[in-house]
Amino acid sequence: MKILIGLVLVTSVWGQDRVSTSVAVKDIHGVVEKPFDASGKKAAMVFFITDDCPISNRYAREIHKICDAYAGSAKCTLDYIDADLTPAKVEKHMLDYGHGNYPAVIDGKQVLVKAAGATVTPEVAVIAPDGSLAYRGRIDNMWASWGQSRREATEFDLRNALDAVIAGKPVALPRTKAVGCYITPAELLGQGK
Amino acid sequence: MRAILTFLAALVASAQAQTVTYSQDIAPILYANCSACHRPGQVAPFSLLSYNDALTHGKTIAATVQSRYMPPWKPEPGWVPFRDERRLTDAQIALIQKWVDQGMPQGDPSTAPAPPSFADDWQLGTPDLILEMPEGFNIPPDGPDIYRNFAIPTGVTDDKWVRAIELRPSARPVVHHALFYSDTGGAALALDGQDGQPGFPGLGTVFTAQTDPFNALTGGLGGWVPGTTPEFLPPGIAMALPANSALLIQMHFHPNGMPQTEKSRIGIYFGPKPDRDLTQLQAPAFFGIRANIDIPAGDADYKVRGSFTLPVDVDAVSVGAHAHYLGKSAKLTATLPTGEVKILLWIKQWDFSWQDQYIFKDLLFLPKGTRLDGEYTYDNSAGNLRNPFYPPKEVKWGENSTDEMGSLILNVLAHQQSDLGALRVATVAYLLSSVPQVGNKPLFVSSGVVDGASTQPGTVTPGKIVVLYGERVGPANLTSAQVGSDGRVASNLGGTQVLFDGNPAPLLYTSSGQIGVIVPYEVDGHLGTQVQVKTASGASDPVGLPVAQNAPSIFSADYSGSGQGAVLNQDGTINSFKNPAAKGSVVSIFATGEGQTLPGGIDGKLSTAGNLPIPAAPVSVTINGEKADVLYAGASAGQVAGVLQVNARIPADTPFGDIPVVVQVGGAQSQPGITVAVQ
Repeated sequence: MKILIGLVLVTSVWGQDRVSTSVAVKDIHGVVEKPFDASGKKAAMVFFITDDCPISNRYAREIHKICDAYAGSAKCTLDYIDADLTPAKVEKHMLDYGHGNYPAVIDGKQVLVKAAGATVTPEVAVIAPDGSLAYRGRIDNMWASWGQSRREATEFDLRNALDAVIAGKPVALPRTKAVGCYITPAELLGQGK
Repeated sequence: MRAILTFLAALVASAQAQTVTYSQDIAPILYANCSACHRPGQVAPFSLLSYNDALTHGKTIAATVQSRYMPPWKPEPGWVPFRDERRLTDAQIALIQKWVDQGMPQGDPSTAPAPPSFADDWQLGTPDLILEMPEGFNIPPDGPDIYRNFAIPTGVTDDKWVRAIELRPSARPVVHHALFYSDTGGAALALDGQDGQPGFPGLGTVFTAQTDPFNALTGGLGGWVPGTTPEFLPPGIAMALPANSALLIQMHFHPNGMPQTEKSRIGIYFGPKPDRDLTQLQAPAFFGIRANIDIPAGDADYKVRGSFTLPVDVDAVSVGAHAHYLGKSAKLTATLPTGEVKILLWIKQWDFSWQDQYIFKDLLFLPKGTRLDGEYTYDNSAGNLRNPFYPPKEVKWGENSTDEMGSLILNVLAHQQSDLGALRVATVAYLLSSVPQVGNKPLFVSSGVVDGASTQPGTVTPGKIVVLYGERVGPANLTSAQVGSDGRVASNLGGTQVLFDGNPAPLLYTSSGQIGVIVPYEVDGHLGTQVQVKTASGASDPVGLPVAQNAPSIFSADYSGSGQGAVLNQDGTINSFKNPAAKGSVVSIFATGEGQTLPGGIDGKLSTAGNLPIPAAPVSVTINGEKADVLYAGASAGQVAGVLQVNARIPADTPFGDIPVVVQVGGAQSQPGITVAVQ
């Protein structure tokens, strides 16, 4: 019991400020990916999303735009957090909602979720090449809470963070509160199966 | 170590004794209140029909029901009951939270109720007339909400009477609500398709529809909101669809990230000509067209009021509200000739996304002479996320979505059909009259009168301390209470008077935006009260408030209305978590709203030792839910009439910490959330 508690503490501390860039997962096509590894670019972005959260779905095209805009300097991975999804469902979702053709992972055991400390969808983590978690939180301030969205975002936290990391500068707001649908921890999802 | 393990085991055991499970406790709540929308092919983005569904979304469910974002039901509860209320009780919300806190156990699946089943086809059986949009309308995946109007010829060649309309959208995930009207003059039909797409744009449909005098008088054909089972109007009531009309539908779309095409089918159910015709009343008239809606940029609390007095007896069938993006709160109050004040609809956080017509559970009789007051407030500040303009701009009345309008809508039957003519003539006369400009006169709305202790608007009681928020209600500088030689707090302060049914109220302080008032004891026995503020610039319109015999509320230490109560320990020091009261000791709790006293309350009188009136109704106290001995309940020596002091002994087995305390006077309890610190 004591050892387990110790491990949990260590990994949670580990997850808060740094991630291991060598974490490897298979994407929906069976290709091995290392989402936290910038792979020669200046940053790695992981978007924590799902297929049935209305806020996550509304951000699909914006995520696509950001990945396209920063394609030269940052790597993009889409992390679908729902274990019930299949590669076929994810492909259809990406097409229907305009997510763009970026590597997608079904993170059923929530390995990436826990490592980055994501708690809602949509949420994004920006990892610097040295594995430090430069930014985690919302994409922009469009949503104040459920049902309360602005007509247009006025603060673009993810883009600001990316610009800073790419320029080698500190991120002004490294953590923000993401508004969306809570991710049920994987260990609770095992019940009833 | 053993002590710790025993303690932990006891904790675990007690938690298990109260385990909340999906099968027994949560499934019934979700199936009854959520599944109608949260099922495949409906507007909600995920289903709630199984344990796995609830488990995946558990924390989101708990959070959205806690904030009452879900289920969507905007009217404040506890006034006139509506049909099909879609609202969870506080106990159900707490249960869901407890379930999530406990890790969302399933329980025994064999004890779970079966998930509800819904008819796939027309819910009310085969319609008498089925219409379909001739062409699909494309909704983009992103962007702001879209209001679009569609006119569909009905082919109906004689007058029909509609008992129900069911909408079957093809793009259910994005259709948020629809309103139906009859287009008798063809104006809407002419506009349809003019911009190259099916239908025509704008929130102004109601304007187009309502310029058709027929719709203006009868109020149209109801509406559709996802998740509600369409129902027939009560027997004997039907909406008019005149011969040769088109059906006009205003639909509200909420993009969901995926492009959609909407090609609705509409089922209309006819009935016999009803004995009585429906008439639509609005206060202010015609969506506020003459109610001086001209909202300055940055004004976060712009107030609009309109009043209409019933010329005949009516039975009210349903109520609704309409405004655009700046609408903040909506309230319809009725003052009956007896003085009784009824709140017919109260929406504290108006949301244009959830526009509904609320059908009263039973027909509501309102006698001739009843005054209907419709009140709207608007937020045209940058703080309103939905403001179409950033930075904010002046917004005036108009039919574009970026203009504003507002009214409270009441659909009624004349109690006697023979009175229909008189009712409609009065409605038209009201429509043609302007709401007088307020000018420099004081202005406030009924929701602006709040309980001085709980900070909540609602009922008043004789002697209750309240705060009245408004505009131009007092002098520019804050002026404090004055006590006369008769030992009474003055009711004329800084040039301001606040009258309750003509009785001037003692004033604790006045300023231009806020007045502290003690409700006069003269309202005792009244069923409602009319409140007016008088200053040198004039008198406000009378504002109706319901009156209760008892409505206690405990003062809070930080004036927020909840949290640490205004409580003194037995030694006279102020109770706080740093200075808690001992178990078994006596604390003094300060409250207001106890109602009439014995001897009868004297407005503004400072009590003196030996002359301490006590509440006429019995007083009891619970601390941590347990009955506490009350050693004294009555006036506080030296304090003004309306302040209630309750001395209660903290039960010996009260745990330590911030402990809930409730004061009950008569049948009414003080507000939840007040605590006393116990050591």
